[in-house]
Amino acid sequence: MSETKDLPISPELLEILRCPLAVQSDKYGEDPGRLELVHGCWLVCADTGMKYPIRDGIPVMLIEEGEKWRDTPIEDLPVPPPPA
Amino acid sequence: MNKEKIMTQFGRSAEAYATSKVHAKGDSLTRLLTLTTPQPDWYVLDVATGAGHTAFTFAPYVAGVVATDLTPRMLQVTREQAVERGVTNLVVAQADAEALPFKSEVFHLVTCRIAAHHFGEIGRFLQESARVLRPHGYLAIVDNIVPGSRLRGKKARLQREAGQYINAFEKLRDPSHHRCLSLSEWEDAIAAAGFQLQHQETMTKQIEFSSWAARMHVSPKDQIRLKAMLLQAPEAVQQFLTPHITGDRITFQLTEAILVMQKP
Repeated sequence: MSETKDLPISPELLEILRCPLAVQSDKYGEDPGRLELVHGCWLVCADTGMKYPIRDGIPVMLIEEGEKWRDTPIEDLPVPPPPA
Repeated sequence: MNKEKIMTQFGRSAEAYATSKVHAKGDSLTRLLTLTTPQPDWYVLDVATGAGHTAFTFAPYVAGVVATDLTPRMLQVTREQAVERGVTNLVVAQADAEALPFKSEVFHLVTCRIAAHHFGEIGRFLQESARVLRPHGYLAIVDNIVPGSRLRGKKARLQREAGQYINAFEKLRDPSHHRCLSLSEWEDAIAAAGFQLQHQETMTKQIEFSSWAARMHVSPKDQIRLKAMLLQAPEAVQQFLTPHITGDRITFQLTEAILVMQKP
């Protein structure tokens, strides 16, 4: 579970991280809230549309943060994410 | 709103927590290791990791540790410490203890040390811990407790009032303090979340007033209020905190509970 210099997030962490909103719901199947890494610094949940920034190498997995970017199209997400 | 207070309070206190003797060298760290017997193939989640003391304690014994906190500054301190110590199996994520961002049933052990008194809803935290734990996984909690009682009658009422008084004392020192529970409240919350309590014990720790107040940047005016609250406390509170004055030095004791529970 180590972080590598080439990747913005450990692959093992990405494997178990989920959208904290989606995991509370039973309407997204058996493994809700899977996240996709986009632009190298955002984690996007296809189930809920929530988008979580990776700031200074730390994924910000707060519902209010994901909600803030929910309606922003993926192509318009700022790179790098702005400071909190 | 308490979550904003937590981020503000611990954002400016992060380094103080990295070097705090109470948080870094507490006996409860050793006890946690002994009681949970971590295994080399385990994945551990340390919730509200602070400066990462618990996460670093477990890292050498397990496959991986994920350390979460609500405060990004605390996580940066933890990452810096990981690099300094050469710890490579520890990763961090900013997360709310009451809405954990993890797949269900992935961790063998969840730990949470000296932090639950900041959580607004203990029940939500316990439910979320149960969700991310594998079947038969363990949740180990260390937190300060206050007097309390489930019983009726004057003595029980005085115990509950003492608990409220101590929580008010803690909240004046740290506005992000929500509430310490009594042991009986913990037992009820643990049972309600479906856990089986495997072990409980308490230990007292001596606190030196000045450094305790300084760690949270308490104003001189509030330090005077806190001293008055400590030294003029009702009898049931005095019995619990046992304040002592030696010259200019004021000490008292806090009581910590270690609770280890298992998911069915």
